[in-house]
Amino acid sequence: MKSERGPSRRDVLCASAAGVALAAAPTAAHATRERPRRWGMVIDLDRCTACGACQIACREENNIAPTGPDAAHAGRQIEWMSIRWQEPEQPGGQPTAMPFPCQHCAEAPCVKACPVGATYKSPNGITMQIWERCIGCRYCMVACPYGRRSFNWDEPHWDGTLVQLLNPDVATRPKGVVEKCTFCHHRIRRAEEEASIAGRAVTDQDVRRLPACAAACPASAITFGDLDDPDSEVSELSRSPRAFRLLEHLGTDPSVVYLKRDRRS
Amino acid sequence: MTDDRNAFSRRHVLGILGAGAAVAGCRRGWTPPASDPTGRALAKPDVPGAELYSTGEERWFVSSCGQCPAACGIRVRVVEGRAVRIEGQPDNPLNRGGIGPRGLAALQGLYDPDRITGPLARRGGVLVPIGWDEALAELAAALATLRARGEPERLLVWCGQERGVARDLLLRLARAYGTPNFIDGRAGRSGVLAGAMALTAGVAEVPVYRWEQAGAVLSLEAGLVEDSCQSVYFTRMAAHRKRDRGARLIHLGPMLDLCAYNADEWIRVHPGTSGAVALGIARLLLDAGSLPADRVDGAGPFRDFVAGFTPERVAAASGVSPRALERLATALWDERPAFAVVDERSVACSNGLDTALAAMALNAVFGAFWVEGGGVTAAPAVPLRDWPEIDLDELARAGLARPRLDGAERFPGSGSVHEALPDAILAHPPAIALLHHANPLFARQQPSRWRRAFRAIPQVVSFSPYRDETVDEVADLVLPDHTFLERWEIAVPAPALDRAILGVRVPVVAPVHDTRATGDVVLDLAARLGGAVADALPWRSFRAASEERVEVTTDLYRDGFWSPGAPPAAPPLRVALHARYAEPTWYGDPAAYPLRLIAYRPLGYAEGSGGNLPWLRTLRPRPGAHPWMFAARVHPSSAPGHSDGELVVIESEWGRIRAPLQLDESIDPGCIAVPMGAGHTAFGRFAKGFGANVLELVRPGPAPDTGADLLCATRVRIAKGRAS
Repeated sequence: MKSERGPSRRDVLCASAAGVALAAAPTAAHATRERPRRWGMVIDLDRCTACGACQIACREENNIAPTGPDAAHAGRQIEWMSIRWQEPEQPGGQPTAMPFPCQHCAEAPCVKACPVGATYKSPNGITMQIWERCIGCRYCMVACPYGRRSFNWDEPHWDGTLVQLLNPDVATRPKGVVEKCTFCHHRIRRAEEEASIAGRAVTDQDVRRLPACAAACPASAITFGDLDDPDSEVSELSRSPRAFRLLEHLGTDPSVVYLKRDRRS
Repeated sequence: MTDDRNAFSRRHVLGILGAGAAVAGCRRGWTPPASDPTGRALAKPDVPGAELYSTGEERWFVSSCGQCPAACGIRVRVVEGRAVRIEGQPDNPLNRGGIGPRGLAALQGLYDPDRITGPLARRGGVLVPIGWDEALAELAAALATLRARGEPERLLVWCGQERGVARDLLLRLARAYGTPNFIDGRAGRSGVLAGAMALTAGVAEVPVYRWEQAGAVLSLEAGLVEDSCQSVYFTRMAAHRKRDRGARLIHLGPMLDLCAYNADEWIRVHPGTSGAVALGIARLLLDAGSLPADRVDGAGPFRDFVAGFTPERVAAASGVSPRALERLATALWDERPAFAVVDERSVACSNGLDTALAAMALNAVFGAFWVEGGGVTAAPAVPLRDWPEIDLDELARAGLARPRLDGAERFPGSGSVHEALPDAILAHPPAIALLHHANPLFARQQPSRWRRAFRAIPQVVSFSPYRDETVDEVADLVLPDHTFLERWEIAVPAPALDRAILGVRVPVVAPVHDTRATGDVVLDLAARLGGAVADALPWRSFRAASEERVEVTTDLYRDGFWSPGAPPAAPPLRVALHARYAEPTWYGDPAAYPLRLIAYRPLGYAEGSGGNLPWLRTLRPRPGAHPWMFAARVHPSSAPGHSDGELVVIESEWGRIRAPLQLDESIDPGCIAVPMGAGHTAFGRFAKGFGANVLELVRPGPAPDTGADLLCATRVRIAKGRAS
């Protein structure tokens, strides 16, 4: 059922914003002044059941171009988030399923490798990619120790009516550029805008399930938040004795923290 | 945002660019425009109809998922009339905001480029478009003629759903018309589970489990988080159980699947033998204590019966060592409240009913029935009011008195026996078959058998929105249904909770094609037929028919679900124990066909009805899996001379397929596991031609004692080379 045209939520929010700005501009400006954040993610491997909902939610939200079996078998699948099966540490042990997004390293090797500044660190800790600046050299893919970047080998294409499911908030990427997880930065920006309109700062509650993968997870295994805020849920979780980060010895300082699987014997 | 601002917004400019792209010939799909190598990177899709909107209008609809029987609560984001995002509904007690991969992929089903765009009729062997009025008039005339001939029983109505108002409406049509041949989805293995509950607890409903307070749970080869009807609910329970130190889950199963992965302990057993393990545990526990005689019937004979299930016998049957069995029994007893869980995967072997009865017997030993904290209870009655009783006319009474084609009368509680149908259809072909949510030419054992049978039916009518195998090959008339995102419907979720729940589905977008809700089509047909049939289905719309059965409240539409707050009162209960168990039968010559075939529903795919959703092909539900992978898994010791990745022929006495081999040490030696859902010969570009259909191998015919399907009862062999 198509909705009737009329004032949308966006309209109402914008109108409210104007009102707020006029009525209490100094207060609002003060309340919404964002301190620097470091967005990060905590993934509890004990909760994760490997269902893959995070992966499909990411595809849906971020307009990830479909690739068929031929591209997949050639290793040309485009994936921002996927389940990775980690071999057991001990012989005879069980493998571990890990939801595996970009690690958004504070010392990101990909950023250092990019010759044209297409990939950069945003002030809030997200490793961003400017699609139209990317020249497709793939140095970043070589530099990334996690292999979490994908190259568009082909022009993306959505058959027939499939085009209608594209999310209007996210630009599609053309052939010849590298793409990657953005921590759903468009959703973060939106949350920031909405908080700003309401005259407050973004709270932990606003963002804890904000990225599409975290929102979908039926096991509540993925938590998002500000790692620089000592009171945030992600900070608290990342202080767990089960917490670890991938390839930390490389000095990449990732913003994705895993909580180790803790099977009962 | 004001109109002035809108006039020069980025969205507007992009819309114009998009319109340009459409003019340039992008109607058959969409690729970002290549004319502007810089700007194209930020191109937004050229969306048909977007010009009607100038505000970037966004709405969220609360609804219920229709991708599987679970009916999770969902919220759908609709922007400019397009559904672009599905999320879980946080308040729904089934999924609490989570959602499974299959539910997320519903958008690909809605916008499947190969959907049927309107009614079709077969003319000269080819399906051609016709108008709705012509199609309905043609079908109504055929139905009226058949009834006038006094042969109403020659109408076959097949609804693949087990529950729900649409199923009930089709059943009502069948009864009012006068045919006993209404086939529903209960012939699946959930009928076996309900049968076991009926025999044990006197309630013919599938068991549901109270996980939250349980101390230990024993899974008897259950699928739970991978392929059960309530996988999202079980995923949530699995996470709660693991992290919040809920019940300890011990899984018995022949291979590493997601249930084994998520268990605290996985004990590998031979397929179909977990019932013997349960009886072995019952024996050990009964040796140490007794059953409460005031609540249990048949305790004496049962005790005598399980005395034969010594640890040594159980070890020989299942592969579980006596020591492990004793440890298991002790652990489960010490961590009570405990219960044994079975689901549809548990009962896929020939001894499915015995396995379910063994689980129920063990539950009686644990005293787990109707226990508040961590026990087993029967699924609550669906809180739907009954429609008024049908006033049957003489023709209908005569037709209903005739025997059913599938002989379901022989299997009390089964409802329908799918596997008996092909032979019965060939012997006494119905004149008209109506198929709703059914694709027997792909999703049933030995599809060629079903092809022959349905070709013998003069008029096959399908309500499928997709061009599946049945539509493609045998349908004479296609009256395409909406997808669940386009129609109004009361959803009846597969049982998971111990309290009743109803969901509501609402149309979140205008129909993408010229389709109609099958409920409305049924009512239209009834009106055209007139007489007693029209009187039995008098409603002006499917929605009106549905709303007569529920208390329509604002809550139902606001929350998308309705559930009575408190669980139903526990019925006065005695449980009956049954002294029966048989080893699983594997059909085929063991010398020629040494491997036991495990045909299983993989994550997200069910029996193949998710084949048109390519996102799901990217899932990795086990180690070694990769996107777009189809493989048969076998233990290396069971495939000497074969290598990993090798293309082999898998043969049974009934068929052969070709599949790549994956050598997997986790699977029980002597078994080969092949996922269902692949090998489509139609069903759109994403499904067709990918992998092979394991059901080609599976022995046809129903289980002798229950009439259920036997997915895991076939012996196969593997050979090098190509299938001829």
